[in-house]
Order: sequence, then structure tokens, then C-alpha cells
Amino acid sequence: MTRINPKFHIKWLTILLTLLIGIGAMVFTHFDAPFYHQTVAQVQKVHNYGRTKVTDEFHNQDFQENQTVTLKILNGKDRGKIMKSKNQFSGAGATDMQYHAGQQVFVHLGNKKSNKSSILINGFKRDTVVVFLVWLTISLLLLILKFRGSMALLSLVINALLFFAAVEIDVGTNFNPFILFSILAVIFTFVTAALIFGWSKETLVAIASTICGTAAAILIAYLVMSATHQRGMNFEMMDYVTQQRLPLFFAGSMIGSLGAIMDLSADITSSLFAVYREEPELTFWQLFKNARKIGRSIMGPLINVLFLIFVAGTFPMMVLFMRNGNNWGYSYSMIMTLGIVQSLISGIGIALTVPITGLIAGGLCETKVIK
Amino acid sequence: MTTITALIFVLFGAMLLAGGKQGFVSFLGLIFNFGLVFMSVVLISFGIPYLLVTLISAVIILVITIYFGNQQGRNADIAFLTSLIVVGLVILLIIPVEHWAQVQGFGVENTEDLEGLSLQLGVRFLDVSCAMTILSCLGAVAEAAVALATGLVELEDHDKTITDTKLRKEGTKVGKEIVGTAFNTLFFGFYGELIGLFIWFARLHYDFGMVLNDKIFVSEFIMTLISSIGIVLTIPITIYIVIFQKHRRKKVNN
Repeated sequence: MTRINPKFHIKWLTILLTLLIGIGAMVFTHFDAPFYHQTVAQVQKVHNYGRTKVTDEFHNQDFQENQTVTLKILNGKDRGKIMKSKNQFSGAGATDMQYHAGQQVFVHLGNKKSNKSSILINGFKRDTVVVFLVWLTISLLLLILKFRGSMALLSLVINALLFFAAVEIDVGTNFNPFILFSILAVIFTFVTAALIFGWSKETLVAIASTICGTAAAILIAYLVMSATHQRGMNFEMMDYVTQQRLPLFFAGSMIGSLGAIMDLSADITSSLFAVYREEPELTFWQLFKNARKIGRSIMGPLINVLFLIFVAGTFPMMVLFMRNGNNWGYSYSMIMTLGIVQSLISGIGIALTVPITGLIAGGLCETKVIK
Repeated sequence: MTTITALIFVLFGAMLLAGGKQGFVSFLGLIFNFGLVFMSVVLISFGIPYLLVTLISAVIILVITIYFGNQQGRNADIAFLTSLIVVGLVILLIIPVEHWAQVQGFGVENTEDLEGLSLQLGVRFLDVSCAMTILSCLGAVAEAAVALATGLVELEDHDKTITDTKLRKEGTKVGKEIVGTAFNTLFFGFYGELIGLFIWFARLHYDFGMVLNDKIFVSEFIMTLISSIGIVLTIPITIYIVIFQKHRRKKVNN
């Protein structure tokens, strides 16, 4: 019984190596201040002055506290300098926060002319936590799925690069953003499908139905919005807008629903072709019915994925609005409508993809294009 | 008629067209889920402890998502149990990560929206962020769990004598396909939601370091990564539960 099982041995080595990489990456982010253009400082110690109760005009009771933060500058020409800054925070912490010793922050240094050297904290350094979560996701993926998980990662990286390229083109040129992101959506579909499902006729069917499903959803949304004159939609409440709102909203809805639609059409296509291979005598209608059978059980959970993401994202603004003396109905109509319309559009796209995939895949099988 | 009402009718029609009676039940599930999410945010804004509100609505949302509009059977039970375990694990990750990242509330990019509003509300926005992150991952976890459990139960029904090793191997294979598409669902959703923010970053020439530390970007990125982690965790847990149940059944039969 002295023989060591080599498989077991390698597994421990992998886990140890993954842990070392993770710790290494996180230690690096602790010392990466020299790589930043902005000035980075570390909180040495804080002195708190005690809480004062505050009540606003809506009778919300909260507290406010002042603290003096001693900061040590970590990069730039003032590196090593120790300075003091004032900070005020509240219990709610909507836009402020309490600092603790050991945390790293971004600071803005006042100009040299004024004798009093002023220092202002203007951001919290969050790269360590981002690196930690990225590391955790990748490690779990590779430990559980081994190398088979790497294609999913590769598609994520390529799609991110494509997306940022499209954003740069949008900002740098006068190209119509909706057309630009439609082209991006088509490229996304091809790249992702090819990487995840491999290149085959089934993949082509999935790509065709994904594009048709997404286009149908956007077209219907556009028609409905025109017919109802966008009643009840508060586009002025859209966040982070730097250009025309409507094309941006449609582009966002389109890209947002694309992944879920692709998921569904790929599922239906692969099951349908498997069925067809076993029973090639099935007619178009039988295949179409089969597609509905597969589609309807996945459809609900899939619509829920995006719905929960889009609606939960409005939570902070909802709380802010309701606590500011607005009633439920008004807060809902101001804050939640856009998120809900976005999830409705993706829901329509997902639901329509079921018959669309059935038509395309069933039609192709029927005409014996695919053996 | 408002745009939302019209779109709800269209969605209802599309779901009926796609799934018939089952589509109708799925549609009802969606409406219930919306009611739950809406009640959750109302209760949290009243100052009721967020963890209590979130845990209760999370369990109900999972029940609705998994059992509504799905063939109810052993696969749904396995998916529900898996989702409960995964969401529990993920919550243990969410709470420390949210405290560590300090992404609660609003970023500098929101300044314009906050004008004239009182910010000292007595509700901790850190709690709101935790609630938001927990609820947003439920859909992804439930979807992955249902797909995987259905695949494994089908496999087991097909071959009653299937070995543990084969189940593990096939489960990982099915899991790989699910992860590939589910990750893209999440990340495309992420881009679709934040397309405006990314254009903002590009217009104002944010550098990589600024984006990586931006409050809103990090907050949404954490939500997406947490959901991804939830999906990956679903794979071993579903496989383990299927194997565990198989052994228990064997014992009972003997």
C-alpha cells in the first residue's frame, strides 16, 4: 500500500498552485500603486469624532460622523509623505464611507502654491477584490471542469475585446450606434457559437435562429413603442447617458438578450437534431412540436435570469426614491420601468425563439438538407 | 395603453405561442417573481432587516422558478435542493465581498441623478447592495440547476446500472455546455445593462485603473462574477446529490 496514486498527487499540486497564483495576484495588487497614474495612499490611522444624529425633512433618522484620516502616499513624487485628511460619513453610506487603517485609497493633492498642503480622498481602491473574484471564478471553473472550461473563458475574453472595440468606434466616429451594435451582436453570435458549440450545421441553425429571435424582439419592441407613443417610459431617467437615448436603449436591450436567446436556440437545435437522427421519418410538424416541448421547459427559468438581474439592479435607486417621500407607484414608474421594459423585450425574444428555432431546424430536417 | 402594458400582452402571447399551457404557467411565475422582488425592496426600504427579507423571498423565488412551468419530478426536487445549497454558499461569499469592496449606494457617475435628494436615510446602502446581489444570482443558479438535474436524471433513467464514475464524467460534460452558454447569458446581460456606462468611460477617457476601481463598474462586475461562481458550483453539487440519492435508493431496496 505504499504506492502513491499519481492522479491524487497531481490534484493536490494543482490546488496548491492555484492557491499560490491567487495569493500572488492579490499581494501584487497591494503593491501596485506605482502602476497607477492617480495618486494612491494608504490609511495609517483614523481618528473618529463621534456620531451626531441627523433627521432630514422626511423624518429619516441617521447619523453623521467626522474622522481625520492619516494617509501615507504610496506613489508619485510625494511618495512616502504622510498627510492628514478629513472625511465625513453617514450611516446610510450612499455616497460616502468610513475609512479604516490599512485600506488603500485614491487621493487628490492640492496645488503647491497654497501653503496648506491639502489632500482629498476621491476614491476607494477596489482592485484587490476584483482580482480575488476573477481568480476565484477561473479557479473553480478550471478545477471543476478541467480544460473543458477554457473555451467558455476564451469566448468571454474575445467578446470583451470585441465589445470594447465597438464602444471605442461608437465614441470615436459618428456611426449610428444602433447599427454598430447590431453588427457587434451578429459577430458575438458567430464567435460565441463557434467557440462553445464547435463548427457544424447545427451551430449554423442555432446562429440563424438566435439572430432571427433577437431581431424579432427588437422589431416588436420598436413597433409597440411607436404605437403606444412610449407612454409611461421615462427615458430621462436612463443612467449614464452621453448620447441619444433611444438607439442606446435598443442596443442595450439587444446585446442583453442575445446570450439567453443563444442559450435557448442551441439547446433546442441540439436536442432536435438528436431526435431527428434517431427517427428520420419524423415530419415537420412533429419536429416543430418537439421543439416546443423542449423550449417551453427552459423558457421560464431563462426569462427569469435576465429579469432578476435587470430588476434587482434598480434596488439602490428605489430605496433612495421611496425614502425621499415618494410613494410606491411613483418610485416604480420612475425607477423600475426601463429595467422592466428591457426584461420584457428579452422575454419576448426568448419566447419567440422557441417557434423560430422549431421552424428553421424542422424545415431544414424536412427538406433533407441535413443528413 | 402604456408601453409596459402593451409589451406585457405581447410577452403573454409569445409565451402562449411557445409553450401553450406551460407557457401560461411560466408567465404567471414571472408575475409572482416580480411581485416578490418589488415587495422585497419595499420592505427593505421600510428598514426591515435585509437578510430576513432576502432569504424568505429567495426561497420563494426559487420554488416559483423551478416548479412553475416545468415538468415536476425528481429533477425539479434535485434542482431545488442544489439551488438552496448553492445560494447559501454564495451568500456566505457575497456578504464579506460587499463589505470589502464598499460598492454600496451610488458612484460619481450618478451625481446628476442625486441632486436635491436626501442621502441620509437611515437605511444602510451596504445592506441594499447585498440584497441586490443575492436576488440577482437566483435566476442564473436556478436555470443551471434545472438544466443539469434534468440531464442527469434522464441519463440515470436511461441506464439504471450507470456507475458513479460515468455519472460524474457525463455530469461534467453536460456541465461544460451549460457553463459555456450561461456565462455568455450573464456577460451579455452585463454589457447590455452597462452599455451607457462603458460609453461614458470611453468618452471621458477613463484609463484601465480607473475602470477597475470604479464603484458602479465593480458593483455590477461583482454581481456578474457571483452569479458565474454560483453556476459553476451547481455542477459538483448536483452530481453529488444525484449520486447520493442513487446510493440511498439502493440501500432502501436492499
